[in-house]
Amino acid sequence: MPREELLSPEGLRLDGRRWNNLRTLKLSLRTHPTSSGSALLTSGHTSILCLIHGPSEPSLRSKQQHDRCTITVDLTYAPFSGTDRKRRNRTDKRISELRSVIQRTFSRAVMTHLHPRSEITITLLVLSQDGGVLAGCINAATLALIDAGVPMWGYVAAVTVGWVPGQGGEGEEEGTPVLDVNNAEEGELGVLTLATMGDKGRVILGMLESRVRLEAVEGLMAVAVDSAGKVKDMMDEEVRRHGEAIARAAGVGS
Amino acid sequence: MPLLSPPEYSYLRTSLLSEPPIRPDLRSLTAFRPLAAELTLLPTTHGSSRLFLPDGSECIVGIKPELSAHPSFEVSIEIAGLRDDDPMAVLLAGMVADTIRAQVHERLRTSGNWSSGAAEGMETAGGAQTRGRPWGWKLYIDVVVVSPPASHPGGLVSLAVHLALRDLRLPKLVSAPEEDPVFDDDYEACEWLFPREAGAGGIPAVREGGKGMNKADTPAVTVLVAAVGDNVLFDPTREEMVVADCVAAVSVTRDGSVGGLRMLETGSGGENGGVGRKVVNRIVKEVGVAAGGLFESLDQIVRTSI
Repeated sequence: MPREELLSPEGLRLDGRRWNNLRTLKLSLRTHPTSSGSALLTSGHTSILCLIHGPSEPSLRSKQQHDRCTITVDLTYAPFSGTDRKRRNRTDKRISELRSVIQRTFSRAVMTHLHPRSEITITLLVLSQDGGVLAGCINAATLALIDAGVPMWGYVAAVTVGWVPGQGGEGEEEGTPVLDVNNAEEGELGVLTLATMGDKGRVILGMLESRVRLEAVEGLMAVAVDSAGKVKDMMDEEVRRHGEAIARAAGVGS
Repeated sequence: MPLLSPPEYSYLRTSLLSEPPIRPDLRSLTAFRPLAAELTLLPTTHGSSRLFLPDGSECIVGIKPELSAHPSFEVSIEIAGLRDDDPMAVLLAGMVADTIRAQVHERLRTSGNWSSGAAEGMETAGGAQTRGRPWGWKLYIDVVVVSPPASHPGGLVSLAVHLALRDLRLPKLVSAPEEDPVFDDDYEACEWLFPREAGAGGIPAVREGGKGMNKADTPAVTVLVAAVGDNVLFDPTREEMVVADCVAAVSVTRDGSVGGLRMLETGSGGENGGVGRKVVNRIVKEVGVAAGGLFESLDQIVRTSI
């Protein structure tokens, strides 16, 4: 797809957004009260459900670690989640890769030393995918872990940023970053998925899966870190709203 | 570790056998656990449903159609925490497919441009893949059981598939059978696979409480029933299934005719294992009687989603 189609001369993207627009992000906590923690994240047409089970006794003795808890990630793509029906089994390479990325991220973010010899299972279900699945999974898991009351060092907030290369004309800029890519953009562009932890913009995960120009990386990072902070604020707002609702229902607080 | 200790087992069994029988959640014998449902929730499917029980069992169904020269359908089930080839998932998929096969095939044969006489003529001519074959639909019915189920998910899955099928809309084919397929690009022109109206009278049957609909107008459902002594209980919980003499999955159509029966568990082994045929008879009869009420509540769910 030529550049003009992904970004019009007026600077509008395929779905009418500008380069720095996030899609509508809907967050809800405690959607499934029977699990330890749960969250549903909808970002445009990407929709991801996360359930937390634990901390509890490990399902397998081999998962027990004497000084910290084990994080297990289970990721499922619903066969109807994409445009074409596709059934992926659990040994799918892509799924294994995403699982291990999410598992490593949260092993750093969760205060694992507080729950030795136990296991926290993060179950992610992708109901509908339109780009940014990894970022969505991480944000949903953060919210669900907060709902479960699992102690963490800070919010883990993730975003995707794509790079639309310039035409290479004289005096023209080298390219433009586009925030929160959708499926069409994800297939065409070099896309960076980046997650930060806490308030200070410390990067906990970076994943750049296709080639971009070296000069572009710095710009991508700057946009990503900045927007991850915004996403963190949105998550914080939702957590506080949810907490207040619970407090009000219990008859405490204002 | 067994689910119930011997005193718990004996207490539950005695209370289910007593006259009148007492279920732990005080439901009547034919009552289902309260169901909550949502339809048309997934943007990338043509029909979808989400059904959940208060114990946290939840199931999401999405249906995608594919253009095909041979109308057919495929059911796949994924259960959280279980492997893809787990016997439970395979068994459930088979059970659901058997339940809905008759009605879905019936409807698929009249959808697309399979209904035209040319189609049937061509099919009898040996099904040769000639140009000008008519087009129909192949359905992919995908079920995701979201959390590890607290009780047997058979009934839940079947009801969710039923609702998703009734939510299914297929693009309207506007091309003639001998042409390459072309669709009406107006989403509003999509056709419901299962009619929302009875016959040709034009009265919205669902709104009228389903009167005048016949058994082919809605897919069949499978219900789980358990027998304890002379009592037949519907929608048993996991504990009730443990103390039951037998648990059966029975599929039933709108008019109360029973289309299939599958024994899932037959109580304890040993000398008193198995159940008498009177019990099986009673199960079939009771399900047939309860079908009317069940389909009425399903109509209610569909009606509120319109």
